Amino acid sequence: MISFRNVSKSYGQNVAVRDLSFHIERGEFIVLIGASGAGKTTVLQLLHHEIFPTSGVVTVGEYSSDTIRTSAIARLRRKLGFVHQDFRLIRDRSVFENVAIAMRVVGTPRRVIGKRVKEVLAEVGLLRRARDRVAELSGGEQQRVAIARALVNRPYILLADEPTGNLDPDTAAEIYALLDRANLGGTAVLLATHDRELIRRSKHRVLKLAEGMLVPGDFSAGAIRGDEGVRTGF
Amino acid sequence: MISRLEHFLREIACGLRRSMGSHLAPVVLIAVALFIMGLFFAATRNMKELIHLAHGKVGITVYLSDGATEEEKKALSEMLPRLGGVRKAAYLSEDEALRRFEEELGTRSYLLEGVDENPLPASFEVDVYDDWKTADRMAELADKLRAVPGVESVVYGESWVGRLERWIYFVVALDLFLGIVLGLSTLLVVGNTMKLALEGRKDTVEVLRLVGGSRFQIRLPFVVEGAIIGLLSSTLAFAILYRTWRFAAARLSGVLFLDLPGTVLFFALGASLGGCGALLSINRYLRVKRG
Repeated sequence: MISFRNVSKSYGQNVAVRDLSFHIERGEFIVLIGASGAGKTTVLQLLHHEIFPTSGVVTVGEYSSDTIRTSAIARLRRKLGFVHQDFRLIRDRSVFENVAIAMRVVGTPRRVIGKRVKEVLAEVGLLRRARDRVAELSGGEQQRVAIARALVNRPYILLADEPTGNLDPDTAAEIYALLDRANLGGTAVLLATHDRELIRRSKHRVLKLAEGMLVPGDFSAGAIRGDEGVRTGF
Repeated sequence: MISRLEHFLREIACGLRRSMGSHLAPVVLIAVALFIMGLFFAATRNMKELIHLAHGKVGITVYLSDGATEEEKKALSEMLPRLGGVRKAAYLSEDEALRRFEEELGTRSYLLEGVDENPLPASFEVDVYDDWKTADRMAELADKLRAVPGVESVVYGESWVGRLERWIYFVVALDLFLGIVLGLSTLLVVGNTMKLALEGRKDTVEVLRLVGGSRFQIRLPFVVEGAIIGLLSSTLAFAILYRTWRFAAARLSGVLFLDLPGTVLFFALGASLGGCGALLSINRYLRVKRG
């Protein structure tokens, strides 16, 4: 479904990712780990087609970075959900509006929007706050709104860039549980994080990036338990 | 379709509601720029009217010799309308010329009391089309008429037609230059003002991009919002312009305000500058850089 084939991305002399190749299958949950500056965000931006590879090809479903037309980028993004560390919400609009906007953009009828938004808000536990302004919510609640928005159009894959970076450990665990639940519902998840606790709890495939390259080896929680300091590189 | 339309309308309404307070400064700033543009429009209209008036005074008078026969007069009156550039020609007999002169003298008509014989010749007053009122073409026409039998002399204001022509060229070129400079400056002011006005809406653009809004979907609400700001600005500028004109018209007779096409153009300019300014500022966020 998603593949990176020999992808490199550089900004002038600085290489952000180097000769990266990997696949993500439908419904898979991948945890992308690595220290700050390792290239995690670049990988997510490449998938979202916010930036393009200097060499190599990123493929998402039927879209390829080497052939995609500018006008098709929006259509691709409608099939992806993206959650950022800083939530990226419209702060003076209601929770409902922030989620509904993703459906309005694709031209979903109003009746369907009303039903689906309520459904997804119930999934993230925010149905009762649907009418509240986003600015009135806590950080954890705002991140739930961002997750609801990312899931509302039933995307191929949910991209999450340090979604727990601004949250306390308990709230982070709740957010992680939501991502897990979305994955159980069939949505692939690519979670970029350096949250050790999340990695320790994760049962999923872990890819580790260092200086823009994939580090060979098994970094899943089972493999690193008891030896995490050395293996995760934190 | 209806849902998308609803999305646009909702985005426009949200944008205007959200930025109502912060749009006040841009509306005033753009209004000032449009006011200057409006002054220029009004000045151009008044200048065109002056040129039109000056052009109206340009004409040819063909004086007939005392011995001109009736046949020669008839032949000339038939020939004149057929000459290229002649709009119309009117015959003025000796008696009519004297009567008009007396009228022009008014209270000083006693000056003619000692004159027994009418000294004024008969003439044809020739009106030519505006595009023929150039020094070269008038001279060409005058030369043709001088060669006609029965014509004593031809007068058309040789000395000042050339000066008027040069003056018109200069004024039109200056008007065009000022128009371009003012237009570009106004676009710059509007563009930068809109950029600042929309700075606070980056989050909306960011979210729309994130969820897959097309470039059209992202741009349209902002462009409409910009056009509305532009229209509000032009309304404000128009009101100030109108007051300024009333002030000037009370002191200077004959000063003209914008005519209907000028007024429509003024409002259209305000709306399109607002829309273009918004488009320019929003495009910064939508650039796609490959490789």
